[in-house]
Amino acid sequence: MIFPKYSPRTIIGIILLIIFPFFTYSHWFAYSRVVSTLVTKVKSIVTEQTLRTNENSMNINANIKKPTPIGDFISPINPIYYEQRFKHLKSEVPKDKIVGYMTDRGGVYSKPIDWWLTQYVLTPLVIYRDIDRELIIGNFSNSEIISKITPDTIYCSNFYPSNQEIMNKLSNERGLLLIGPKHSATAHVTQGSDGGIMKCSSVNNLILLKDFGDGVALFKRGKAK
Amino acid sequence: MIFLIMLSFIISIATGYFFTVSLLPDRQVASFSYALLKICLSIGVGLGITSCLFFLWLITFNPDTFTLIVFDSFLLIASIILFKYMIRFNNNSLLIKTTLPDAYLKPSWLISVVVALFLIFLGGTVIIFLIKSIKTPHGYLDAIIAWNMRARFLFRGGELWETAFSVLTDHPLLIPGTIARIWYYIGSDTTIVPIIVAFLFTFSTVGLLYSSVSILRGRSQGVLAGLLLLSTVIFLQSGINQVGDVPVGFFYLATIVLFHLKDNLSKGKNDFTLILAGITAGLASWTKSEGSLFIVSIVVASALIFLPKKGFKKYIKDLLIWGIGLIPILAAVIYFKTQIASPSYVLDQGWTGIINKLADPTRYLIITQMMVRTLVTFGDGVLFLLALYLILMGKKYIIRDDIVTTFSIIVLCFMLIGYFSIYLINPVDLSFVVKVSFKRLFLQLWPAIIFIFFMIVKPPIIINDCSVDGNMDKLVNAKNQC
Repeated sequence: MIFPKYSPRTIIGIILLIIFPFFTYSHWFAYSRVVSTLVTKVKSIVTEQTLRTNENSMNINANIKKPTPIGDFISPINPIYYEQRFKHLKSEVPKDKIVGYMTDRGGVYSKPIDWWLTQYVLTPLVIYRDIDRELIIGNFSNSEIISKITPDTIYCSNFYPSNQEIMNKLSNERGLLLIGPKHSATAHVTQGSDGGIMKCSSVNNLILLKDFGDGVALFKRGKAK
Repeated sequence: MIFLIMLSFIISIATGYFFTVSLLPDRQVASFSYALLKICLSIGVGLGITSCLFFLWLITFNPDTFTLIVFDSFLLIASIILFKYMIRFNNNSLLIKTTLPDAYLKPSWLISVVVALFLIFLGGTVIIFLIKSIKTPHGYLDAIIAWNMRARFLFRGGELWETAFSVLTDHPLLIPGTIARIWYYIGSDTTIVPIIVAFLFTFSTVGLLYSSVSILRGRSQGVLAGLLLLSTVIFLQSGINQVGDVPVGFFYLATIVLFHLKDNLSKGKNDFTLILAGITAGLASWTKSEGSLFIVSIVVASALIFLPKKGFKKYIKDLLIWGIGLIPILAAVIYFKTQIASPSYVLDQGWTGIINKLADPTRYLIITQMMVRTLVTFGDGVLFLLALYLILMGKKYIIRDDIVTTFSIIVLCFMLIGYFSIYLINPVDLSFVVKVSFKRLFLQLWPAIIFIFFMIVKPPIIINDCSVDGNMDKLVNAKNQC
């Protein structure tokens, strides 16, 4: 016997506990970004070497596109990216203010995550998810949207999955649809003839104070007409 | 900056150390496991108490670094005085009733493999933790929203820090307070601090689990328990993500371990260990709102188990001693929840909404299905592994003799019932909430579950020269006869 001092049950039990971590970590590593990045890098190096070999053997001086370095990619839902986008706005707004917030619902900005990240990078500025404030921060997919904003394009709603379908439908029908959610309406929004979202009543005279680029803007609300 | 970071952590951990050693029983024989247990407890207790005092400092003074350092120094001096004072009265000693000394378990090839594997995995997870944390220094989104953003408000907000809680949920402030306190020391909100805090809690949990099981059930069991926790990838991932589930899990484990240690006391009549258990339970509620449920579970479970066994007088006495540690921290939690934090969104729906949800049978079905599904898939099916291991090794647990283990099991059952009840009345999309949160709620209990599991299961005992297999009592007798 290999382990004469233990009963077979004990040996099986301990071996199971020994094998288990290998199983769990192999599972994890398969999905790990570090490992997948490493695998992609290795593959790209292998591909590049193969191409070079082919290039040398065939003596072709074609411009071969080099693989993009993996590390250069920054996810848009990333605090570091948000820090970069909002760094100029930070100095323009007094930190003891409570400001409003407005966003478009396209692309990555369609979820509350964008508001949380904006709040995170602009802390201690308090950002309410409404547009009933003197100053309103705009966080858009791109800067082109800023020139298209009119009172008719701004609606009030919360971002809940159940509202998503309605918002998609309205967006398809009307084109641009900006959402300035109502503060403290924590449950599903049930008011409004559009089945869950409603026109914000106080968006007239929205003045663009500064466009910071990359979809970041600061607005001031004038008096209602 | 590094000096100030180290100073702030040293003050915290030293304060925790003096509190811990003042209240823990003395072990007659020097033991690595017991020293490690004290250090791990000191880290959690120290960070917890100083974050609580930081909150007190915030609501009392205008925030500035100098007064904070003075405030912290007074706390450290107070803990040293307490240590000097308590050492005279703390005449308890820890005599493990239920475990063989490690010497009885001869070093074996198989256990050496497990120890080596444990050390390799420990080293590996430390490296993974550091690499991943450097790549995502702000943590996972939940950590950003729930903890790091609060810490930024506490630090960057200055005197206006309270306004932040108009947009933040009602999670308590152990983690943000710890982070912001250290940021005040260094005067900068570097992301290194939350990484260090997450690192300390993650590996203190491993250390506490290893050391406590080693003390109570032998070193081989401790290593297996530690290995099992390190094998749970979601535990490590949550640590890297800087979410609050690992720290609150640490305090759950610490409280349950302290109840077990208290059960192994001999000599002396002062149950100071219970005061420490009160502190750790209070710190659980200062970490996350679920910690309050833990306190209720302990009170109810102790009434069910200890009241019939010990009698009313002894039960109330123990409860009051436990309350000495608990109440100051609970007072901070209550003050924060009632005076500063926004009310919980669960209560926004009013009583009619709650009663309607309670009367809806489909909600019970959905929650049960989702919870069972999560348990089956948790940690790559680790619960099946535990069941199989228990069948193979057998159990040494007898309810009549080991009421503390029964008490611990009931506490965890009440926690699960509590989670179920909160899901029932939760106003947000039910399937979505259970799916995303139950895995992490269960993770909070996971270190304590492993601990209790190794209290129940038989250790891998060597068939020694006297041909005794499995039964510890027989082994002890046989050893004596040998």
